[in-house]
Amino acid sequence: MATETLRKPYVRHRSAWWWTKNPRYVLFQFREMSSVFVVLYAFLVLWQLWALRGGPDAYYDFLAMWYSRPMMVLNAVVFAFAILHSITWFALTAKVPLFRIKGRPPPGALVVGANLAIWVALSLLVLKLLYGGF
Amino acid sequence: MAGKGTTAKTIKLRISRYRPERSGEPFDQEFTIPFRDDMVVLDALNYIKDHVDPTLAYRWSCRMGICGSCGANVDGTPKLTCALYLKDLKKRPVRIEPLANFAVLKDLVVDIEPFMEKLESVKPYIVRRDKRPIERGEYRQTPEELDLYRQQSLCINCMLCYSACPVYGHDEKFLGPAASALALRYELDSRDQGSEERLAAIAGEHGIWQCTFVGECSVVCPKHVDPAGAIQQLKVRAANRLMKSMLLPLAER
Repeated sequence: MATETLRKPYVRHRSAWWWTKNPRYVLFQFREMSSVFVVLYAFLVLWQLWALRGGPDAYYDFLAMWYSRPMMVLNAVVFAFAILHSITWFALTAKVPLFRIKGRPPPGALVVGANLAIWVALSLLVLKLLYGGF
Repeated sequence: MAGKGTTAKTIKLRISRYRPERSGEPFDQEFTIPFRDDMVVLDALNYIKDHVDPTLAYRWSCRMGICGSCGANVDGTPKLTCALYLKDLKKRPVRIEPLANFAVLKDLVVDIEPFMEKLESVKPYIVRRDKRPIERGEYRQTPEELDLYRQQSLCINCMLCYSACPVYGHDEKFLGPAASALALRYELDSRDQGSEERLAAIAGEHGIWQCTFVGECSVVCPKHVDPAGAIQQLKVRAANRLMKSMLLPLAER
């Protein structure tokens, strides 16, 4: 179209702090950021394996460092983000109905609840394998 | 509105104005108008237009939440102004801005062209490979088949979801929530055969894989279409399709 236009569309600038305007955006940013901490933990475990390879002395040095206060704090932060990551991840499963019950998608609460229950059960099983009965 | 029975109650609104023929930048203007408990935000805009400032520009039509024209960001949240009571808003002044993530044309009127292009790109109509003459009647469907896509078919194209989507705010080429939901609506339609033609728009560079599942589109949707859920279902379909094409390259998809 060759019509002359008097339009002057104004494109607004989005602030770098857009995500602070809404608590759900904040949660989203934290969920995205949690992956960084999950990767960080993977590297910590690799580091642990590396120390194990160095023999008993190297491993005891590693453990001393591992149980130091800064590492405990770091682990607590990583754990918190890992929990956030897992819970928000399972919360998404309700959005993808892979099967139908009597022609209807299963209720979201059931899907999320079942996933969370299986996750908790498996986590407890792992803890039991690691630390024995409780 | 200002006639008999008007009480002394007033309400202050701060409205974003943009007048392309005069100023370069949008600016805020405050209005204090009579207010009753049964007024929605659109009533307030209409009052201003009728009694205070006839130059105020905004879109509206049906006043009953089905035309999808009257969306605006009210106190930072995308809303249909016809369906939002002023008495339910806590902050004063009430802040009214054009929908976020769209270019502003005048006051509360935004440029919807980018959305229309996205909508067209997913071919939101029944596509048939075997076109048959109209005399042979309609393509029939059972109520159960209709149920499969009923939720997505309720979309009124109000674009609140685009205003709420940070991914669209970041990448204007992103297909976005409503167009994706409508794509799924036709993908799930038993009468449709257009999957192949929609694939590029749905699963291409600016398609569903851009979605990081913020989920706010589904929160603000006035028709409970759940575009975030629709996009995840499209992702599953696209992934299944890819797997099938690798494992069964000759099978019909």
